[in-house]
Amino acid sequence: MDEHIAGRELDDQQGAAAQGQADELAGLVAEAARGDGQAWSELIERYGRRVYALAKSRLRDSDQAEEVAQAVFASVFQHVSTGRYTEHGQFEPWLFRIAMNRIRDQIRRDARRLRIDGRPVQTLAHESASPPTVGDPGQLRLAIESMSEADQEIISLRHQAGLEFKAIAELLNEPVGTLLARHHRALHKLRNLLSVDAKTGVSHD
Amino acid sequence: MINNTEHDLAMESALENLARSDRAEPDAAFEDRIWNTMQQLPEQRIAGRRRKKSTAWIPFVTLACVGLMGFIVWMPMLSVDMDNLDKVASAPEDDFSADFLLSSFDAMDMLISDADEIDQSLDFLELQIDANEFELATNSTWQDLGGSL
Repeated sequence: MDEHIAGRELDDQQGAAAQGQADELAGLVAEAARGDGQAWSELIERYGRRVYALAKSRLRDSDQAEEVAQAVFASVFQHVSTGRYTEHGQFEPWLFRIAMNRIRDQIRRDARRLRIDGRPVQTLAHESASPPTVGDPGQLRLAIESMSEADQEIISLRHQAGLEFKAIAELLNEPVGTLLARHHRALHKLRNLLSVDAKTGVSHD
Repeated sequence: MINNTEHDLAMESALENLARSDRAEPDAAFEDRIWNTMQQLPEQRIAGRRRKKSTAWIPFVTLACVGLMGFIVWMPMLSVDMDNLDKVASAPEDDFSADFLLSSFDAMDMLISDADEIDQSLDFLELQIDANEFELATNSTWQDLGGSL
């Protein structure tokens, strides 16, 4: 009984903290909309590198990732400063939706260019000579790249962009439960791809 | 025995490390570059608006073109004096519109003056045709036709 009450109190505290963060973000966006440079700096500081990491994980190119990050913030700036964005507590999903759209556009452009050039697309994780391990970022990246589009999407939004499942659900218009299951399956596939003992970090073939 | 939750935690930890390294990848001026890109936008929008306003000349130029076309097409016609065709005849030779009008007037005059004669000729022809038809109807019998055969 005491545990149940303690659990409810913890949930209430977490809910209150989340609400406080949402209010703080809403205030920041409102100040940015009024043209406060400091508020914009804070938003860039908070989300710039997360957008970059998301773009880098999908595009595998640093320059393109930075271009996407700049384009996303330019678009956000245009919408917020001209009053075309109205704050309903969904700034984060909105910003990352813009980012995902930009990334998809870039992927389409790259695919078109590859078709024209006739170059090979990429080497996959299982083509690598050395056995893959969880601790090796390069191998992990290659393993992610060999996964399906949906799996890559959920992994990159959850980890590279650092979004909560609720925000991902709002972004993708899908139920949280579906996304949790997809994320779990994606981790399982990744683990199988890397064939690794998660506890010891020793790789198997 | 390691359960799936521990596997997931290890995998999530590895993914978090990867994300952290990705986020740390850009240099210190990364945020400044984003800020600079955003700062350049209003100027571009204003420049865009100015370019749009510069299209205001289009209706005026269109009107001027229409006026010029009207002048070119209608002015030769207006220069024809309808009361005195002799003056029209003295129009420059290279003025095609004036020539055309002049020839049209001549043709019209000829048609009008010859109209009575043509009418008389047509009446005469009709009378002759009627007389022949009547003669054929009264004189030609079946017997005449048989005799002729």
